[in-house]
Amino acid sequence: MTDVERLFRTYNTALVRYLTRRLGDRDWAEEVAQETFVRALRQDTITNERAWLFQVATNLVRDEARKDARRRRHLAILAEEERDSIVEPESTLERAQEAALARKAIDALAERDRLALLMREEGLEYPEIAEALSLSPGSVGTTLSRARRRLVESYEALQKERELREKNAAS
Amino acid sequence: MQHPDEGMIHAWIDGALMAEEAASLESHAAQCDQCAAAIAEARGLVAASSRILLALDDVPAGVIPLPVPKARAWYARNDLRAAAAVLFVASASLVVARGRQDVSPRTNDVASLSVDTSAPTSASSIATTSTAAAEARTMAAAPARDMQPESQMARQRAGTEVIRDAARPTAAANSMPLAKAGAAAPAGVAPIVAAPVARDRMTVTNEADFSGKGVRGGSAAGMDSGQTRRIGSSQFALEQVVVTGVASEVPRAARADARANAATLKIVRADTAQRVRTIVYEVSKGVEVTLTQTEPTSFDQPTVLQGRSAGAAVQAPSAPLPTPPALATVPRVAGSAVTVMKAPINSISWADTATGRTYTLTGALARGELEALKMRIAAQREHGFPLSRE
Repeated sequence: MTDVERLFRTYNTALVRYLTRRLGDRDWAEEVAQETFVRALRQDTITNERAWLFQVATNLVRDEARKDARRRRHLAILAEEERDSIVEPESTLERAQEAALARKAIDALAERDRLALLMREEGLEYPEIAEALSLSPGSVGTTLSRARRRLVESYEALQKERELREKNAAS
Repeated sequence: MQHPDEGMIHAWIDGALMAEEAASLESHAAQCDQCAAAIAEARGLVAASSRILLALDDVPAGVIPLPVPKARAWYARNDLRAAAAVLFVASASLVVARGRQDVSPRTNDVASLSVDTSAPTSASSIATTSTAAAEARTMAAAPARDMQPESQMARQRAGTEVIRDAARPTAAANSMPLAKAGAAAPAGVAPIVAAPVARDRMTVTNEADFSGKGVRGGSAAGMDSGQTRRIGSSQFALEQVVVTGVASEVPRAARADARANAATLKIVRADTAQRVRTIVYEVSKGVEVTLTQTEPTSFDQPTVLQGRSAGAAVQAPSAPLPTPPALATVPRVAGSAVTVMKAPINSISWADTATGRTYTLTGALARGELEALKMRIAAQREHGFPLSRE
């Protein structure tokens, strides 16, 4: 097994999930993950594999996101419109609504908080997160606590908002 | 200790604190209700954010449409292709077998002759053969014995199968069929067979009559051997040496040339197709011989006979007969007239028990000369075929 194969087998799942959560698009996430492994192939030495992979993936997303942020935003609006128009089974609908809320909540976070949180969810240790995001090791805890609090708060706020809307629509 | 900040609490929950830090936080939280509440809240936040992020994984798939697998055309189905291949081989075999009967009365003679002799022949061979080959041979001879005149298929099978049976007594016992076999074969062709082959079958065919028939005969023989092996694949041992083709007149000049040119043999061309490697050597100007090297198939078991009758120079038959490619590449096969037997094509075959490879050397030379060439080629080839059995 080559080194890159081992890397792929070890980290691909976590990386794709991280990127999917970050991007809200699994295909895009897989593309970025693949590009990340391709870059790993070119790299001579990697001291901390996981931190390196997440850092490179994050940078790739940032670069690409900068490029076609507008395009993506437009597509996202289109996708949302389409989602609204599609009548889905109850359970799927609920899950889709939850996912949309979560997406909105995570999007409300500052980029650094969001990334730190998503990395932590994939099991990265504090020093790895610090390395990947160029943070001081001592600030990771603060960053994560802030991210979690904001995420939960905004999610709950969105939930309340929706419940209110549904109540209004019902009455 | 001061009240730990929220970041520190999260770090503690995440197990990222140093041991001492963690210990002091724990002892403080045990006494401080405010911090205990903060820890509880932080745990709630950690769990809740994980749950929220989990919802993000529920991403609708199929954002990028997958390529629809192309429907394959009906004729591209593997089973149909296999069926077509089987049909083709079967019909080709039929054509070859028919062609043998229709075109060549001589072959018919051999066939009918062998019908007369095959029954006693096979009986005696069963008696004298101690190997499993006997069974296969019985199977081969059976159609001939039970042959009905109206059964065309049985006749064809008998025709191809019994040629060898007919030839065997010729070689082995030099008995009655010799004359008839000689009559069946073109004039001037006499079987030259090394001694003790009584217990084994000897294949003697003359494939030098003329081009078309030579090739046809060759392929029929090849097909035949394939059938035989299939019939007895479980009981049949790979027998080692087949001598096909018999000596006859070779132009004196060519023979002289061959002797004179005792230096290295020039390789005119060589190519490999599937398991068969064909090398054409130029013996002298205009005289070429073809060496065909056939890799063993998976069911060949070259080791089976190793211990048996090691002394016999020529061992028993039914190993692959000279392969059609060899014949096809021999230029002299393209002779002019049927009756003019200027330079008949002879071939000698042998097998390497170590590798299971079978070799056939074919050329417009007498068998003895082919044997000599075999030695020369072997000397020329570093990893040549073994000559220990010679």
